[in-house]
Amino acid sequence: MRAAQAGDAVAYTSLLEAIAPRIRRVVGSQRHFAGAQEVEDLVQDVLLSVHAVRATYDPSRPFAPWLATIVRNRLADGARRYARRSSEIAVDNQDVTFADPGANTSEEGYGDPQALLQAIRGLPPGQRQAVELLKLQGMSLKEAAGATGSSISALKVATHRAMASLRRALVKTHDTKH
Amino acid sequence: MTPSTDDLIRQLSGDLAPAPPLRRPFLRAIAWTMGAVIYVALAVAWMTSAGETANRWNEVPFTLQQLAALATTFTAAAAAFSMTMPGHGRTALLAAIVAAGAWVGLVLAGCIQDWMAAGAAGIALRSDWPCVAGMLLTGVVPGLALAVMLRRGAPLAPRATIALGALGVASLASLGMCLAQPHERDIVVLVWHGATIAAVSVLAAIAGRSILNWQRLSAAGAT
Repeated sequence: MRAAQAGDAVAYTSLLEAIAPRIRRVVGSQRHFAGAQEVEDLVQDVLLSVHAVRATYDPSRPFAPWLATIVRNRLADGARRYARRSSEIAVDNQDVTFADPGANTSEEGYGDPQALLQAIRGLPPGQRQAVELLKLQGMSLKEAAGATGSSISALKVATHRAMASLRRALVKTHDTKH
Repeated sequence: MTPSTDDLIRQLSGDLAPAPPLRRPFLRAIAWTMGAVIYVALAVAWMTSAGETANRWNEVPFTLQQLAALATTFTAAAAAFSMTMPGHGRTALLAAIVAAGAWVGLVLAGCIQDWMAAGAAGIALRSDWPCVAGMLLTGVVPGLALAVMLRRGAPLAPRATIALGALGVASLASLGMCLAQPHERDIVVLVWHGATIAAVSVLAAIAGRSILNWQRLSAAGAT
């Protein structure tokens, strides 16, 4: 690592190649439930982190505790991300399963797709975009926030309002027809 | 090893730029504290005329309080730097807790002395918004400098790191205000300065992940 800090690319390659299998072992043992691709993502995450903070390594100290701290930290971050993703899915579902018994009808097999499409077109641009990304394209809140530049909270609010507007519009259409 | 990890290693090694090791947290804390003390001293001199500056250095309790505030500034900064260095212990954090505890204890002791000397009037609280504003304004430049220095480290515990940095900055700003606007009663320092320091530290902790995060570092490292 000392040589790598001085800019020695060959030494750095050897170091990363040597630590990658060790990181993979640690990640694998800590994440029994993770698939091979997820383990590899975490390994790469750790390697990127090692690279980004290589200046924080003090050459007068042992290397292993330095690396172990980074691995532990990135694994904890990975677990937090996983937990957030799980809770996001729960929040997504809540948007369409609110107290009103009729709330689910627009999500699951609504009888008039044309009316639904028309109602979506009638939404304000922000709400329409939220519905398209989250409900039609199936993006997670995080992905949609990244794509639109909006905050997750703003997207949640927009989705909630959009669902309420759609519900009202569809009930109106239904009443008009019958 | 999957090809993508091989590719990543090749990419990281190919773009390798020298990254000289950061100096030890203790040394970085000394450097920052010296710069911040000079800045705050200039700010205090600008805010007050020479005659108005606190001339209480001959009072032992006052001097001890200010030394404890300075010790809190230094140890909190050292702890914050230490938290951005993987593999470093938590000795600096313990030192910061001891220094902050000693400081609060000394101010509390001052309040008790004021109460014993003047009764209820000794702990009668008056508002001190000018001090709050002065602390916030004085702390901006040292705070930004500390944030820039901390961002060179690893964001292992962003909230605690930034909160400790804020504690260091706010305690120094409090020291500056104690010199610029001498208080007759320590209860003002305890409540108004204490509340400002606590609020700044909590807000800093909330903003911690925006200031220090791996995403920013990884993106910078990968490009």
